[in-house]
This record gives sequence, structure tokens and C-alpha cells, in this order.
Amino acid sequence: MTDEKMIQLICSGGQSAASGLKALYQSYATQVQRFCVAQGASKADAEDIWQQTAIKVVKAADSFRGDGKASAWIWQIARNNLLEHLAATSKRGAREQTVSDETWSVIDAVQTDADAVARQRSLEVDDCVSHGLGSFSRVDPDRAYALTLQMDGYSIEEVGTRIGRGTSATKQYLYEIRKKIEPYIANCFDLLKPESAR
Amino acid sequence: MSDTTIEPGDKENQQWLDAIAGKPDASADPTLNQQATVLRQALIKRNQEIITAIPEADPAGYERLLAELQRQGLLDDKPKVILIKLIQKVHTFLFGLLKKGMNQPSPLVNDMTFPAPVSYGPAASVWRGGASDYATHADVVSRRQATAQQLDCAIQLLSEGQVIAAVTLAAAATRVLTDLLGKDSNGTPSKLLRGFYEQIDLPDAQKNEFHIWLNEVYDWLRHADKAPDSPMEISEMEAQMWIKLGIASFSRHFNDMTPAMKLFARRSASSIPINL
Repeated sequence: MTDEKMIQLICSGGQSAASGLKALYQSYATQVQRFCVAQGASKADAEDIWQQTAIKVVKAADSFRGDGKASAWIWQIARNNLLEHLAATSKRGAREQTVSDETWSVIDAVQTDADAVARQRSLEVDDCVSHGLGSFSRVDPDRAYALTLQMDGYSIEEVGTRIGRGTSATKQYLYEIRKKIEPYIANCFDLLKPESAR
Repeated sequence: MSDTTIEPGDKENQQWLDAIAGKPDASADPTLNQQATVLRQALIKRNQEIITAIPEADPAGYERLLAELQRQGLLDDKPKVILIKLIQKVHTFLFGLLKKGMNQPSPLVNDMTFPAPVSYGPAASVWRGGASDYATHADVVSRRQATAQQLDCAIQLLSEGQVIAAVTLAAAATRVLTDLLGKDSNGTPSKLLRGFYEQIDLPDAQKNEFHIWLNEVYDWLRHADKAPDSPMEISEMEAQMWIKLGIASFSRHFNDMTPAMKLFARRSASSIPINL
């Protein structure tokens, strides 16, 4: 069943709506909740956000005109709900904080700090990169999520649908991640070099 | 990966993304591939933690969603409004058909009597229940006679408030009549119902909704294989709808109506169609 058909069924009411709702649940419940957790929500909050998303989809199904992809529309609702939730739990400020050039220099400085380097070198490379990825995810959960989708084999179009961007913009967004994540993991790769080269 | 054009400056970025996706470009810088592969492993590990935290959605979550939707009145009201509109459309359409049928000459109406019982002889009579006072009365009847009697009885039963029996008879007759009228290649909905849907200009989803609603009660009366203990709400509306469909089918197939059918059609014309 296509997402567009699913929305159409939900609009129809009765048994058809039940079929549409079931399809909505099966297609989106898990993915939206995982998206929320990846963005910093707790497991319980993720279910609340998903439920609110489903309710809004049902309420607004009549207004879906079908001139865009239903999946993009549903993900837009999910993202908005997540933002509203994070705002309500006072996390929004931290999440929406854009990482300015100044901030990046601070991060660079932290990452190149001798103590930090020493600490990271004490870890195995994998653990070091995991640690760096965790830090990056907290500062920039959107990009970390997009990178996870890339790792999971999603197409550019599918990643774009999830993060609310067009194909070209998504591609550029993904390209930028390499530079953005580098300060968090660059030191880890020193561990891959021979001791004499560090 | 994507098939969009890669700018020269983005080549390394694309190679890095390819390696992140588990498809490293063999021509890429080995260090780039190595670093991206390590990051990929970290992403897989992190993703696994999320999957562990949020396993596949379970039925309980779906039930919780349904309960919340019902609590907010999003499951009950909306279908009802749509269904009422739908039934109004169908009633209007069927009334049009019945009115048209009433104006047609019906030379066969007076022939709608059953033939005299046929004697099967003693052996057949015994086989059918014994040649006693309890012997089964047997008639050889045509489809036309059978469906006419079913519909006439359904009309009579409905007038007596015997809604369940009325639905059972009228729906059975209608199923036979729609079979006679012919089915489409999929067998369902019948050409007759499909014709109704087309003429009342229903969106596909509502056609489906109407079809489900119409058959739900009848199927419940015929079968108990699914949810045998579940109750069913059966109203006069279902009986009226099935009788109307039956009469319309009968009228279309045999180009005739019995007096009871004509009377029902006249009464239906003045009745309030919706009484939910």
C-alpha cells in the first residue's frame, strides 16, 4: 500500500480508516520513534511524540492534497512534533543552537587539548570514534541522524524525505558532515598511525 | 548511491559517503576509506543501541494509539458522518431506480404465484421426510420465484420488526440476483453494485467503505468462523438497504416487481432514509 493510499483510507473513515491506521502504524511507528531517540528523546517521550504524530496525521488527513509525497508530509509532522516536544522539555535551545565558526574553533581547541588527546589515545580506535560520534550526535543530532541513514543504505531521496530537504540540498548536507564531524574524531585516527608517526 | 552529477570538489566527500554506506570506492584514498569504515562501525553500533531501545512496533502500541484516537473522538465521529452522507447518496440513487421501475409496465406481476406442488411419488416423498403429516413440502421453483418470495418475505418481516430475518432473506436474494446480473472479472463487487457506485459518483475509498458496511452484517449472519462470540449491531437501516438493493436488482434483471416490492418502493420514497 502506498502512503498516499494510506492517507486516502484514513480520510474515508470506518473500516477503511482502520486499515489506513494500521498501515500508518506499521510503516512509521518504529521509524519515527527511533528517529526521536536518535535526536535525544527518551524512549517514553519517543512514543508520545509518535502518538502525537499519528493523531495529527489523522486529524489533518483531509487536508493532505496529494500534491507532494505523503511520506515527506508525515515526516514533516514528526519533525515538528519532536521540536515542539524538545522545546517543551527545554532541550530545544541546546538542540537548535547552530554551531558557529567560533564554536567550531572552541571545539577544535578542546579536541586538540593535550589532555583530551591523551584521554582519547588511551582508548581503542573504535571506542574513540564511538565516543566522538556520541559527542557529535549531542551537538548536531540532525547530521548524525542523516549520517546513520547513509550508513544504513538509504537513498539520497529517502534521506531527504526524513530530514525535510530536497535531493540536491540533502547531498550537500551530507557532504558537509565529513567536515563537521572531523574535529570529533580526527584525533582517533592518530591511533591508526604507527607510534613513531604520531 | 546517488546518480546525480558529482562536482570535482565533492569527489572525496562522495567517496567518503560511499565508504560510510559500506560501498568503498577502490580508487579512493586508502586512508579515507579506512577512516570512513571505522566511523561506519561506530554508526552501526550506535544504531544498534537505538534499535535495541526501540524494537519493532508491537500490537500493544497500536492498541494504545487506537484508544487515544477513540478518546479524542477521532475514530467514531468521522466515519459516522461519512457513512451517513454515503448512505444518503445511495438511498437517493436507489429511490430513483425504484421510481423508474414503478413506472414501467409489469405484465408479469400477476404471474408471481407459485406453481402447484409437484408430486414426487412415494419413494421421493419418503426420502424427503416420509409420507406423513410431517413430509416436507417441495416446490420446483425458478430463481425468479425464489428471489421474489425472499424479497416479499423480507418486506413483510421488516414491517413486523423482524429485522434480522429480513436482512438474511433480502441479502440472500440480492446475492443471487447480482450473480444473475453477472460479476466482473474479479467476482466482486457485482456489476450491479459497481453500476450503483459509478452512478452515485463515489470516490474509490468510499465505494470500498460502503461495500464493507453493506456486507458486514450479512456475513456475520452467515458465518461464525471469525470472532464467533462478537456481537453485531443490526438496524432497520441495513434491512432497508438490502431490500432496496434486492428490489433494484430484481427489477433490473426481470424487468418487473411484485406488488409488495412496488408498495415498499412507494413507502421508501416517503420515508426518512437515515435513522442512525
